[in-house]
Amino acid sequence: MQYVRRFFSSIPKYLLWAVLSTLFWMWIFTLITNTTAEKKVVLYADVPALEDPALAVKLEESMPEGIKMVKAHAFSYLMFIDAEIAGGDLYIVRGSDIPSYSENLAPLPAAYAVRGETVSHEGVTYGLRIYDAASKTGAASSYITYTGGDREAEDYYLCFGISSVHCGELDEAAFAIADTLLSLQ
Amino acid sequence: MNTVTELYPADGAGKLERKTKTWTILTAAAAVLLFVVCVLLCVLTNTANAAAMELRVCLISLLGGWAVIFCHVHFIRGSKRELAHFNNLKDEPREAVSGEVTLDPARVSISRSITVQTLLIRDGERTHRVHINAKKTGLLPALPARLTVYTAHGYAVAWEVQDAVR
Repeated sequence: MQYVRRFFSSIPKYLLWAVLSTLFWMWIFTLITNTTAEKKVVLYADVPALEDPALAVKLEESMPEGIKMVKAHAFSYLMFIDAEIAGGDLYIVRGSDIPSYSENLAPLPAAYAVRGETVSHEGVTYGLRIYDAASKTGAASSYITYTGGDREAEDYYLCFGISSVHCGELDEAAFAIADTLLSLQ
Repeated sequence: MNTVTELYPADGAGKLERKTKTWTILTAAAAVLLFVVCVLLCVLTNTANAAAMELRVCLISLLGGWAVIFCHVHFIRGSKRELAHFNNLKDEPREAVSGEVTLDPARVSISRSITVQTLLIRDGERTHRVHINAKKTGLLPALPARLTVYTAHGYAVAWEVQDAVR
C-alpha cells in the first residue's frame, strides 16, 4: 500500500521526465540528422508515398564533395511549416501544381530541358517529367509511389528550388543529385 | 529478568548508511550507463537508421529514467529518511512509559520523513500516545501486551515485557 501511495505521489516526476527526456533527445537527433543548407541537398516530393530514408541513403551514395547529407521528404512532412517549403533544392510536383509552386521554383536549366518532356507556366519552363502517367513509368519508382490515394494519375515533374545554393551559386550538387535520381529505377 | 529489545540497535546506523550508499552508487551507475548507451546509439546513427535510433534512444532514456526515479523514490530517499530519523534518536535521553500497549493500525506519512504508527499505552486512567516507525512494528511482541516502552522525542526506541495480558 505504501509503495502504491509513493508511486502515485511520484507521478508528476515520471511525467516530467517523459516530457523532458523526449524533448532533449529529439533536439539532439535534430542536431545529428540535420546540417546547414550549404552542406545538404533537400528533396521535397508531393507524392502519395515516399520511402524517404531509403531514397536519401541511395542519393547519398553519389553525394558530391562538400555535401554531408541528402534529405528526402514527402510534402506531408511540411504540413505545419510552410516556410520550410521554399528552402528545397529539388522538388517533385504534379504538372497541375506547377502554377501554385512556381514562385519557389527556378527555371529549368537548358541541359535538362532537352532531356525529356517539360512543363511550362507563363512562358517559363520549370520541370522535367520524372513520371509518365500514360505509361506508368517513372524514375526511382522503387522509392516513390506516384499514384494512389484519392489522386488521379498525373505526370510528375522534377524541378529545382529558386533559393537553392546548390544550383550553381555555391556548387552544382543539386544537379548531381538530380542526375542520380533520374537514373534510379 | 526481562530484556530490553532495542528498535534502533547500535549497528543499525552503519547498516542503513551502507544500504543508502549501495543504492545511490548502483542508481548513479545505471543512470551513467544509460546515458552512455544513448550517446553510443547517437554516434551509430546514420540517414538509414535515424528514425529507428531516435525511437530506441527515446525509449531507453524514458524507461531507464523511470527506473532511476523509481529507485530514488523507493530505495534511496526512503533509506536516507530512515537514517536521518535514526540519527535524530541516537544518544537522546529516554523516558519510560509502562502500561497495556496496543497498536493503532493507521499509518501516517510525515512529510520528508518516515511513516509512523501510534502505540497507545494505557496506564490506569491515563493513555499515552507514542509514535513508532511503521517499519519497526514487526519487532514488537503480540499486542496487546503489558510493556515498558522507552521513548525519545516521542518515538518508541525500545521495549521490555512487564507481564502477560490476562
